[in-house]
Amino acid sequence: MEYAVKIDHLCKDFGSFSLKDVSLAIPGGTILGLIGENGAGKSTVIKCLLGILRRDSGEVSVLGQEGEAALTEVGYVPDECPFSDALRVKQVGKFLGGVFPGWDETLFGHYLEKFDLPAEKKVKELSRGMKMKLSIAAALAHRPKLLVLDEATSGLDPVIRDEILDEFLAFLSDEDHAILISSHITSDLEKICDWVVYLHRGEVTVSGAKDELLDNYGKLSCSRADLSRVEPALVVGKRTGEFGCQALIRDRAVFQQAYPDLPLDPASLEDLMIFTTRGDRA
Amino acid sequence: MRGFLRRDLDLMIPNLKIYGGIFAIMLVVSFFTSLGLDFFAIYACIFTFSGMLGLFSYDEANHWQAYAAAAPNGRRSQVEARYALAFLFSGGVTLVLLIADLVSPDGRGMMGMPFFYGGLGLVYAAVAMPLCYRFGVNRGRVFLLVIVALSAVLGAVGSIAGMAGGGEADFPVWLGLLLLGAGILANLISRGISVRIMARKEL
Repeated sequence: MEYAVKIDHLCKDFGSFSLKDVSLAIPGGTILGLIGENGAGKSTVIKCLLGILRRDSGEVSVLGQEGEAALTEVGYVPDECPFSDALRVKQVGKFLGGVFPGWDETLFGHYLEKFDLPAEKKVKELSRGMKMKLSIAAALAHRPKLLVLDEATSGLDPVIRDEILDEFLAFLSDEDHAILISSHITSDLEKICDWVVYLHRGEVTVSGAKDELLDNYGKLSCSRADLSRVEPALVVGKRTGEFGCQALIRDRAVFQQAYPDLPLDPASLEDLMIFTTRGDRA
Repeated sequence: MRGFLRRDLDLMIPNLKIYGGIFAIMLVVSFFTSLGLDFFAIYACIFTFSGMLGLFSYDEANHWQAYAAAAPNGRRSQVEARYALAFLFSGGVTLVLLIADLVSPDGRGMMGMPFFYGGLGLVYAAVAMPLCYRFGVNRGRVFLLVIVALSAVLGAVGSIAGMAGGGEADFPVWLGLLLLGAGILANLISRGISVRIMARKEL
């Protein structure tokens, strides 16, 4: 299996919002981060991938299969805990055993222990971070090959986020495994992702290997006069202030050759998002 | 389906304990007053099936239907589990009422009533569940209120007619079984409709 996930020309129209021609692929053993502002279409892509939403057109393949067949090997973590507040943690493990064919009760117990989740507590007594850990334990306990996480780290404190990100990296130690993670917390994705797809208003704006992307883009801080000298084709987005300008520059190597006097800082995924979304167009 | 059924039962058990307690009090009252057990049985049906609608509220609050749809065969299994639960509850209501009628000195002539209430519960479920799956739990609740009001009106009309006819008429077993059969048939048809609704539903 070359790709754990392959999406080709996915389209979904809701009237007020539409996903337009989204394509992405996740090779086995890697993590793809889906970034974008709220409402950019990240959850829609994930829901179309898992069959929660019906796609209007396009092809979707998960672990080399199409349709429901692949779902036995997919662990899904939605943005909100799907388990009712009235249930106890141990009850969640018991009933999920009857939902997922590969469920491993011992492994679930192991994750509960690892994440410090008391089996006797009710879900309503758990904090947001603990609920998220419960969802992740549930997703991992049926031994999936693909983990799909929709904003799984949003709203969590940095310590818990770091702990969860470590768990994802441990999951990837098996080369058959892959992760698709959506988030608007770009610093998390910068830490763990191999691939990045940036969605803006339902369209893929930027995609590629994370390291290549970060190498390719740079952030320029200069005066208005200096910015006006720069070839517009190299400027992705700019922000002008009272005391100067900032711009996101593509083709960093070309830029540095053409303008050796203008210093270029490394760009982050957050810069990529902010300049594409909020920056004045070049 | 087993896991979905277990989840539903886990969520229902706290409510069932309360309903069970109320029903037990009603049973005792019916033995010592002129109010027949059947007067109370309708409440058992209402409690049970409003509890089932409560499960749809849990589903909506936690986006459970979407999560379940991402599980293998999840769309179909979650529907089938809920219909299985309706059968379990109707069976339970029928059994409790049968036992109560057998031990009650006045119950012998009304042996068809437990089957009638079992069937009535199934009819509630058969009509309310596709509405809940298609339109959400609030419309399901509205429907339940309408059908309860209708049942009350029909019951009142029946009582008045019975009194005008010179007293209470027996409710034969065959009539109760006929209604129970109708409830089962309605449930099977309804399950097919709900499975189709869920198969197409955007979650």
